[in-house]
Amino acid sequence: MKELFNSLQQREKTLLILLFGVLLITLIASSAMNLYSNMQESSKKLQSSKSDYDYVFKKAEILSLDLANQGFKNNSEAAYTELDKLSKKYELINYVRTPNADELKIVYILNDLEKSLMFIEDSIKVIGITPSSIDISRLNEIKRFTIIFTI
Amino acid sequence: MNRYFLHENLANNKVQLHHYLGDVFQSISDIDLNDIHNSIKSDAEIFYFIPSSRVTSFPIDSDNSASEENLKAEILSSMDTYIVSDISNNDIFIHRNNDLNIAFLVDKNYLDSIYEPLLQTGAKIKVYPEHLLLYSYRKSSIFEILDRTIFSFKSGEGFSQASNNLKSYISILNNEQGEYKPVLLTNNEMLNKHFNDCDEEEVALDLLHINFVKNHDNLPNLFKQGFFLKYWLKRFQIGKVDYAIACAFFLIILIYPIATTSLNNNYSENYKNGTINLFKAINPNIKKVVNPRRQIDEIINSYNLEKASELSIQGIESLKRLDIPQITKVTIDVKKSEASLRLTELGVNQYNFLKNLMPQANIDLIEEDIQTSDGKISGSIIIGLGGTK
Repeated sequence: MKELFNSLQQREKTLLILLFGVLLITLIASSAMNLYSNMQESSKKLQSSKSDYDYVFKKAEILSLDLANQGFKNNSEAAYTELDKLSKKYELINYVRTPNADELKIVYILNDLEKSLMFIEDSIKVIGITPSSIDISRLNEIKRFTIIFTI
Repeated sequence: MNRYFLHENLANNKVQLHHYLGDVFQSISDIDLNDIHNSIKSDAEIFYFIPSSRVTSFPIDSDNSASEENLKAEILSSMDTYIVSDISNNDIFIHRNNDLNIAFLVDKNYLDSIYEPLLQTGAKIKVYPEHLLLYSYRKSSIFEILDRTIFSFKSGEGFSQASNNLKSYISILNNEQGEYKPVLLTNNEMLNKHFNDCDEEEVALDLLHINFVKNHDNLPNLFKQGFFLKYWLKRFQIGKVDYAIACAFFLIILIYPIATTSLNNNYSENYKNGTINLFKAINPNIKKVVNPRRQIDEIINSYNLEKASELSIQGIESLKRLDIPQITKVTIDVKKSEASLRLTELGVNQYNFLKNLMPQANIDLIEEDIQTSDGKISGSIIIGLGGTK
């Protein structure tokens, strides 16, 4: 092969090298373009899948809350029992639950704000209603929470 | 710039290396051509002079407009009769411009034996027949370098002859080119005797070198520029580190899209599976999810929801940033997405800092009812959670 190349005239050698160079550059450019095009395509696919997932998740959440709310209306005692279990799980101090005809009031003491917010979210999942008001009174490190759900 | 002029020393098979820095002479040494890469760096310029006895010159008629290929064929056929070596073993160089129209024939193997060590230097290489060194100074002239006498003719032809054969060559010259009136650039008794009616101008080799640097542009360079990877790597001083960086760069260019595409596809698949699992949690009988948005909307519509509640309370995360002992009471009206804060002896600076922090936490200050006493602030403020304004 080398002998064949060496036997060529300089002009032919130059043309051959140029041709090889152009072919190599075209090959690399085409492969790179293909790779980057695939990457963009996959990125779009990911965005679409994520967007669909978020949409379905949000709707499923609404459905879940509605079902929880219907369950609460049909059997509020079961929901209260579930709330009491949650109060123990989150180690709420002086937990008091006061159900009325049109509202449910929950009062407790918990110093950890983050934990308290998690309890509120879990409560919403149980009764399917967002609270109408949240009241946090603070004395030094002691935080007293009053959550009112309008039924 | 470092410049090196190389003349072959036929007596000891070495080359005589003349080193200049710019136009200033530095040194002269005899060196083996194969070791030249140890003496010359890649930022230098090399002028290699082939002894004219190794070059066959062939003047071209300035009116000859034949193509280079045709001209080569023409020259080869006319020269074949008196070139001893096989014609195909020769490289032919054609040079045509206003001043000089000439072809040179040089043995290919000989040229390769010069190119190989020269390429190892990575320097800028220029190769000329030795008589062109004289030609650029006085077209028709004679000079002595090492053990040989060099003849340059007006046509650009030239020859070199060892000093011991000089007499016989001069007699041939007298017979064949009686009108040859060279300028004697050297002081040689025999030459003075035979060319007694010619001009004399004794010059040093250094002067010819410097003159050649200035006037060589229109002369034929016999070095064939080609793609020699090792040469160009050395020429551009590309070391192993540069090599590694370039390789890494190309690898990154190729690996980045491949890795990103793979990750994107993986995450995308996870989201799709997650979506299917959500549907299965709602209704285990769902086997296929084609258009998730439409399908979930259909399911929601079929359930006839009484009211849409939301699990997350807008702005509740912002409360975490307001976990300060001096904020003694927080009352959140979830429907209005507003919160009333009671402040007790909060430092002015701390309050200002809190106010500056609010936009970042997506909190708006709606109402302010505060009193300042001894650099402490007390009172109440109403804020909008999640940017209510």
